[in-house]
Amino acid sequence: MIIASLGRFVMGAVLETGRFSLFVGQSLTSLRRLRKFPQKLTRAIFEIGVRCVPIIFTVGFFTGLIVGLQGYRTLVKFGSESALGTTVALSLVNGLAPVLAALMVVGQAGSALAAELGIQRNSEQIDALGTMGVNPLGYFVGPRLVAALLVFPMHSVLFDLIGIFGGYISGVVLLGQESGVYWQSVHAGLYPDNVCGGLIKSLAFGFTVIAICAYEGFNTHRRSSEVGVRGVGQSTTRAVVYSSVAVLALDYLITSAQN
Amino acid sequence: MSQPFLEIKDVRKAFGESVILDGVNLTVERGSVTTIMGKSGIGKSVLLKCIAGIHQPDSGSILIDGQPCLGARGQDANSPRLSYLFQNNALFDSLTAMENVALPLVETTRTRTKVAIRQALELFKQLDLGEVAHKYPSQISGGMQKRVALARALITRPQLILFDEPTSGLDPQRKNSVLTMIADYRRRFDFTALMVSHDIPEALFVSDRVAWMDRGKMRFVGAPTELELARDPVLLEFVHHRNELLSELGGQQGRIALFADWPELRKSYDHFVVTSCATERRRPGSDLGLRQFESYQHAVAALTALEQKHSQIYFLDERHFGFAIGGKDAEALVNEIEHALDSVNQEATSKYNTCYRWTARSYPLSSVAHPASLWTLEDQAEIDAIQSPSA
Repeated sequence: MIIASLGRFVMGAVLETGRFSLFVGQSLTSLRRLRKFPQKLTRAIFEIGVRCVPIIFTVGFFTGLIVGLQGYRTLVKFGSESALGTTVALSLVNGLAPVLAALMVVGQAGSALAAELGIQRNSEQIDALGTMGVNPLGYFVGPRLVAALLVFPMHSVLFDLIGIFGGYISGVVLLGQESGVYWQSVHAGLYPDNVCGGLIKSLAFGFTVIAICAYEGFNTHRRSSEVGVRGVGQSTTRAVVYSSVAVLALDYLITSAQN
Repeated sequence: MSQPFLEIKDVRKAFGESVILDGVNLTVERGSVTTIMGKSGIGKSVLLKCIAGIHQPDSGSILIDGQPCLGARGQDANSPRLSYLFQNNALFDSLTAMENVALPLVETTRTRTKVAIRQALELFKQLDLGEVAHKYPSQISGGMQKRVALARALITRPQLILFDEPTSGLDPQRKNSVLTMIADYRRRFDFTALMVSHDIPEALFVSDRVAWMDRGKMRFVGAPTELELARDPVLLEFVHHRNELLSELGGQQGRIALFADWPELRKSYDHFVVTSCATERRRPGSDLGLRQFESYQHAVAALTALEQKHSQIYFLDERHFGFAIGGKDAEALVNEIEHALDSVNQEATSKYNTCYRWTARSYPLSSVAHPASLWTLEDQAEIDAIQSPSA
C-alpha cells in the first residue's frame, strides 16, 4: 500500500517534471515564430521589472538597516566593528539580495502572472488565441522568461546598492561609525566573484520563478482540484509556494557549488 | 457529387474512461449553415474543439476542402482558414474591442499594427459596431460582445466559422438578433458555418442542415424539414418539442391544439385548407431559414385578413399551416386565399436568393378522420404536382 502510494507519487513527480520541461522548452522555441517580440518583451520587462522596483527598493533598504544593526551589535563584541561594511556587502551581494529580490518578485509579479494566466485559461482566452493560429506559450510565456533573465540581475544589483546604503544609515548615521571606515570596508571585502555569484543566482531564480508561476497559471484547469475562481486561487497559491521553495533550494545548491 | 467542404470521418475522443465521441461522421457543404443539436454534455462542443485543434481526436480524420485539418495552430498561408466563436466570446478583457478584432491580423500576418487597426475599424463600420470600438469588453453588453467576437472571427476572412452555442445566455430578443446576424454575415462574408445550439426553433430557421447528436454519434443529419421523417424515438421527442416551440414562435396554435380541436372543427366547418410553401433554392446556404420564416409570417399575415371566414390558424411545420373554412362558398374562399397568397409570393428574380411560393389546397373535413392524415394527403398532392405535365 505504502509502496504503491510512493510509486504513484514518484511517477506523478516524474510526469510533472517532464511536462514542466516541455512547457519551458516549447515556450522558448515558439519565440521563433512570435511576431512583434520587442513590444511584448518591453511590456514583460515593465510588468516584471519596473513595477517591482518600489518593493525591491523598500525591502532592500530595510534589509540593509537590519543587517547593519545586527552586524554592528555582533561585531562590536569582538572589537571588529570596522568590518561592518564587508559584512553588510557580502551578506547582501551573494546571499540575501538575490533571494529576497526573487521572493519579492514572486509576491508581486509571479502571483499576478499565475492569476492572470489562470483567469485567461478559465475564460478560454488562451484557447481563443490558439484558434487564431497563435501559439499561446510563445505569446504569454516566452517573452516573460526572457524578461526575467534580463530583469532579475538588475533587481539584485538594485537590492545590493539600496541594502548597502541601508547598512550605512544603520552603522554610520544611527550608530556613529566613521563613514570612511564603512565604505573602505565595503570596498575591501567585495570581489568580482561575489558579484558574479549573486548575478548567477539571480539569473537562475528569475528563470525558475517565472517558469513555475507561468506553468501553474497556464495549467490551472489541469492542476487545480477546484474549478473557476477557486481553481485560480489554488494555482496562484501553488505558484507562490513552489517558486519560493525553489528559490531557497536553488540558493542552497548554487552556494554549495560556488564554494 | 461535389466534394464536401468539411468532412468528419469516424472521429473518436475519450477523456480517461469517458468516451465522448464514438465514431462521429458528418459532412458539411461549402457555404451552408449546419447546426449540431443534442442534449447537454454529449460532446457537441468537444467535436467543434477537435475541428479547431484545441483537442486532438484519438482516431478518425477531419478534412477541410479535402486536406487534413490541423486545427488553427497548423494553419499556413495555403490552408483554409477557420475561426472559432466561443460560447463566452473569449474576448481579451484587457484589450479594447478594436484591439481584440485586430489581434488575429497583428499576430498571424505581416500586417502592421496601424494597418490592422484600420482594417478592424473598417470592419466595425461595416458591422455597425463603431460606437464600441474603443470600449473594453466589460463596458459593453452581452449581445454587443457577441458581435465583437464575431467581428474578430471574420477579420481574417475565414472559410469556416465554428459557433459554439452562440445564443446561450442571451434573452430571446438578443438570441434572434444574434442568429439574424449570423445569417446576414454568412451571406455578406460567404463563409461556411458549423454551429452548436440548444435553441431549437431559432437555430433551425438559420440552418440549411441539422445534425442530431446522441451518445457520441450522429443520429440524424439532414435538412430541417427532413426531421419530420425521422423514426428515432429520441429524435421524435425532439421534433415534437421543436414543433411546439416553432408554433409558439410563429404565434399560432400548435399540433397538439389541432389534434384536440379536430372533432370540433369537423362539426363546425366543411373544409380544411392547408397552405404550403414550395422552396426554390438558388445555391447551397442561400438564406433558407430566416427568410423562410419571414415568408411564413407574411403568408400568415395575408390570411389573417380573412380571419372572419375561417378558424384559427394552426401551425403544421415550417412549410405548412392550416385552418378550417365553412359554408357553401368554400371554393370561392379558396380562390380568395390563393389570391391573398399571391401578394406574398416571390418571383425568382434574384440570381442568388431562394424564393418561396405559397399555395393552398382544401380537403373536405368529412373525409379526413384524423389530422395526421393531412401530412399524407399533402405529400401525395406535392408528388402529383411535381409529376403533372404543367409542373
